[in-house]
Amino acid sequence: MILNPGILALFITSLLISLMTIYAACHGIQILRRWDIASGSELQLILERRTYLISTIVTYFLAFQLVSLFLFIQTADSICHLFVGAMCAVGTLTVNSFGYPTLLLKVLTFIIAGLWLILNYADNRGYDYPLIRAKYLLLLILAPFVLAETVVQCFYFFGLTPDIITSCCGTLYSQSARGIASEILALPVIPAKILFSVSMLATCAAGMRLFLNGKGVYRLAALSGITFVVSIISMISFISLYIYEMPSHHCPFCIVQKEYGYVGYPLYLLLLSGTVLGLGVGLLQPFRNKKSLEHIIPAIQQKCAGAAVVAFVLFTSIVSWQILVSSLKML
Amino acid sequence: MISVRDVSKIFNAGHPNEFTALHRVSLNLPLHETTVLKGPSGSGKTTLLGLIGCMARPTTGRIFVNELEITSLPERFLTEIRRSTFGFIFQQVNLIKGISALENVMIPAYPTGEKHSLLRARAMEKLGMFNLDMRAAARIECLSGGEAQRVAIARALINNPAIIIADEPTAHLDSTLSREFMGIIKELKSEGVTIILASHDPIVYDSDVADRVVEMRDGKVIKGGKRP
Repeated sequence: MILNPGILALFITSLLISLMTIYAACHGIQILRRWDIASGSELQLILERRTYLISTIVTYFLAFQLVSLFLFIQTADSICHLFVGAMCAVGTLTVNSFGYPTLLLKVLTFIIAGLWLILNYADNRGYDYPLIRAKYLLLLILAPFVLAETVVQCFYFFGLTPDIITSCCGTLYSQSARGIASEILALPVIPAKILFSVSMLATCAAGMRLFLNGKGVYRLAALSGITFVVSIISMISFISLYIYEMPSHHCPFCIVQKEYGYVGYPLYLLLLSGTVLGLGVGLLQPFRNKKSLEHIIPAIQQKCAGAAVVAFVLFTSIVSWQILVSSLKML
Repeated sequence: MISVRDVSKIFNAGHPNEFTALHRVSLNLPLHETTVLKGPSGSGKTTLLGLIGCMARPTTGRIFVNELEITSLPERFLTEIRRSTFGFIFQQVNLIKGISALENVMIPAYPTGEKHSLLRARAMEKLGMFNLDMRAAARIECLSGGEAQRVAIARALINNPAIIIADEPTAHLDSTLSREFMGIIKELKSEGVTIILASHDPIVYDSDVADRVVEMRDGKVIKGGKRP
């Protein structure tokens, strides 16, 4: 394993997060089986005391889980010079077969962890632990992914040997390559631009409607999910071309480099934040009628919808700015 | 109604020094009345007061205040309830030395963010209730024992609590000051405040102010009820 500060940080924190998630999941199983707020039994009171502490600790760990996605990308990008052929994070991720699975698991855990944080935020505002079961159920869903991510990441880091010859992003994100990437690259630019613009407009409109009138919760959630996928496709299909000012360079990772003003970080952060906030609005909806949350959930949904709109608008603004100032012109 | 249902409190559970301070105590204390918890040291009076006042959590059982179950509440809600519902008078006055009586009275209301001038006016009013308005600017260390006790009561009243909890309030007062204290309690009672006192002082539990005397021993209620 390469002893890089970023790798060590990711390695240690993933282990800590996994251990904490296992402990919290065990507590969650007990909550799901034994929780009875009407009871004054010793076990119930112990669960009440413990859940407050565990929720607080898990919140901090999952907050780091969100950060770790970006640390992983940054680390992969920063060590690419150690591998022959690698020009950016793509080369580092293809050093062995665990790089991309780790990244995908990190994106997935980012979204689920973000949703858990929203659920926990709402639960903490109710006086009677109204979402306790849902919260721990979601944690139990999250736990296997966190563990899988830690294991896969371990295999990935231990499999990093500097003598490996890898591929650069120009090879992997070219139309001659096989797989989903080449399918995306084959998309015609104008329909891709229209699809991106329509999905972004529809999501922002749904967000504004929810923010102003409190209506269209599931619509915003569904559109946020769709917009996330469409935006990632658009990044590879045409946005990256404008940023690199090259008609054939589609890499979604080079944009996090200094040469491009690190613009990839705010773009991915805004896109993921908007997606999680939009999905979170939908996640809270089934609990809107809980007595202790009947006024709290609509307020949280309104805030989330507003924040999601801000994130998507900022994302679109940065993308639009990059297209406007780019020397590359495509019709 | 303050309803204590099957409440136990065990300290150091599972350790060699495990101690059961309360053993399955059940009580109903009506609001707007004065209840005295009477019993020797170690009978569980202070522990019970602490649980009712949301300063500790029971090991088992539930406590309801006006149908609101308080023992399961997360800490962030307990803080608000402690601040708005309860006023505490302790055995030691627990006033902060080095600052004035007025500032001591105002301190529990600072987290509410209330306008300073309004808060100051209310603190002066509370001190005035106990003829202490002339001593408002005096530092705590310059007050007599009786004055300090009255400042502590004024502090307990600053957030206009519905329930006053007093733990051995006369323990450090002489007979005259103890009777004066019970006079103040009588006034508060006439204003509709619910008062719960823990004491083994006859001046307190034999006072006609007490509507109900609950006798405790070894963490259990052995006698309790409304006075005829």
